[in-house]
Amino acid sequence: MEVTDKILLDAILSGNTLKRDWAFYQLYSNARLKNSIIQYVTTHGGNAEDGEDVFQEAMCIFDRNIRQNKFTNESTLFTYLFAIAKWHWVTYKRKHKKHGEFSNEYPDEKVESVEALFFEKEKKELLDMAIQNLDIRCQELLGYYKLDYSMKEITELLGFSSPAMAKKQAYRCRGRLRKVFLENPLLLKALNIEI
Amino acid sequence: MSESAYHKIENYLTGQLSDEEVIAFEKDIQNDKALADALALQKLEHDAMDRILETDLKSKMAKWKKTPPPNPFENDPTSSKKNPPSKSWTGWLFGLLGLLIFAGIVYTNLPASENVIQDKSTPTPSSEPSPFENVIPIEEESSLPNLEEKKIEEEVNSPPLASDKSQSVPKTNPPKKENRYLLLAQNTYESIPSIVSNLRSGEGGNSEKSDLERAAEAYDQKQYAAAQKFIGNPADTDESTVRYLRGHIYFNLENYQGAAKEFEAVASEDFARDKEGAQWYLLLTYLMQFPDTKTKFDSLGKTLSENEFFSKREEVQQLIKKVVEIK
Repeated sequence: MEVTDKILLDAILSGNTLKRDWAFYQLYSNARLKNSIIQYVTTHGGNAEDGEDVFQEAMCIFDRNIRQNKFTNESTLFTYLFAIAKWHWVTYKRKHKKHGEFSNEYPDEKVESVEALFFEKEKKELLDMAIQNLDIRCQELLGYYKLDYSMKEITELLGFSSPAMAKKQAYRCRGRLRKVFLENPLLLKALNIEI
Repeated sequence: MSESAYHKIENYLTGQLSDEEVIAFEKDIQNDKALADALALQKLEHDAMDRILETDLKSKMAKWKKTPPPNPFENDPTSSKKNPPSKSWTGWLFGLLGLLIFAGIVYTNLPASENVIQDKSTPTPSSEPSPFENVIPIEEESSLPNLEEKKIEEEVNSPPLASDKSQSVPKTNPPKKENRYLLLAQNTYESIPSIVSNLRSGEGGNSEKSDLERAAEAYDQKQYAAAQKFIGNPADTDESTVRYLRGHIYFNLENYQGAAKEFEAVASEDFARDKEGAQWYLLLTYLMQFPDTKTKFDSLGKTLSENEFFSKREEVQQLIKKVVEIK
């Protein structure tokens, strides 16, 4: 079977975990794509290990963008993924540059403020801390919820007694996330949230 | 915040509002700080859910280095979510048909006996056993959990073998009650899914693994002695994640007292990530130590089975039922 971009996109958005995994595996195991990204990173100040990390991060960002309908079909998936990887490496290098260094390497790129980069890192740590507060079942439930599984499907997958119970549990799991957020008022304030 | 505001925000974040509704909602946000804050908080929850999916994908990519995922399009790229019928069905069918035809030919060509009056209108049963007598009808594949459940039920509920001197079968003693509790707990215990991906690794491409990560990896590979070595002895300052993993390692090394202590510690923390898991496995650990821990088992079992929000409530109820049957 010829694997086209349409088949991959349909599989990713199908709501079927097996198809999603299969689609991402097609991209993950695409040696040409992976080697292109690694080569880009190694010729722009990184090493092979950085290249691997960038490739994986690019896959995650790609997944999020596809789910949020940010991919506009104006390029192939290969090109789109490569562009994400390139952007990610540029941003990563900028974050880890020493203070005071200035580079004209990417003069046309939008420069993020140091503050914004700092709070992005803090936000990520806050999210990780909140997720650590969830058990595996909550994480699975919220993962399926984010993939637009219906409560009926989640009930069948996770063995709840009813969709109403699944919904209640989802609300409870999100409450645990919220609790961690509310315990960090300074960071919330930095994100312009005042509770 | 009202429930309707919560749902409105949720619909906005999941793209379910129409264009006009989006414009109206965004205008409301500009004029209502409380609504804007609620939106930002709910958006953070969605960001956390994205992060969960991200971690899950990274964990899968690590597994795909060794084992690719199954191909759901193996038979038909346009197939629905349901599994296509197995090819072995047709093979069986043709095989049966062929045998039937062959048996029919053989039967009709058998030489007639002098003492038997053959009446073709009422066929007599053949003296030879039917080749299909012992054919078990092909059943559709059951889902794995039901098979597992049946297996567990058979193992737990099978009557003890009777010892009978008059027969030549080897003498077997009925399994002790304590062994049946052990068997029930062992059959119910399931290893936790890989927790390696849930552990925070170093940033910035640091490939140095912590002892905890090594312990988790060794646990995933069922190398429990090595896992115990990496995770070290219990300490008061241990985080709940560490204690939870240590509990499982001890369980698999049959150190049930040690396992119980670790699970008790995690279960007693109000907001431990693995609190529910710890409560469930603590119950199993108590079962492994019957009858010494019967009171603790009964008390915890009652609490969990009456808690409608406990995710494994049904499993607890079934477990208690099976324990009662053993008694």
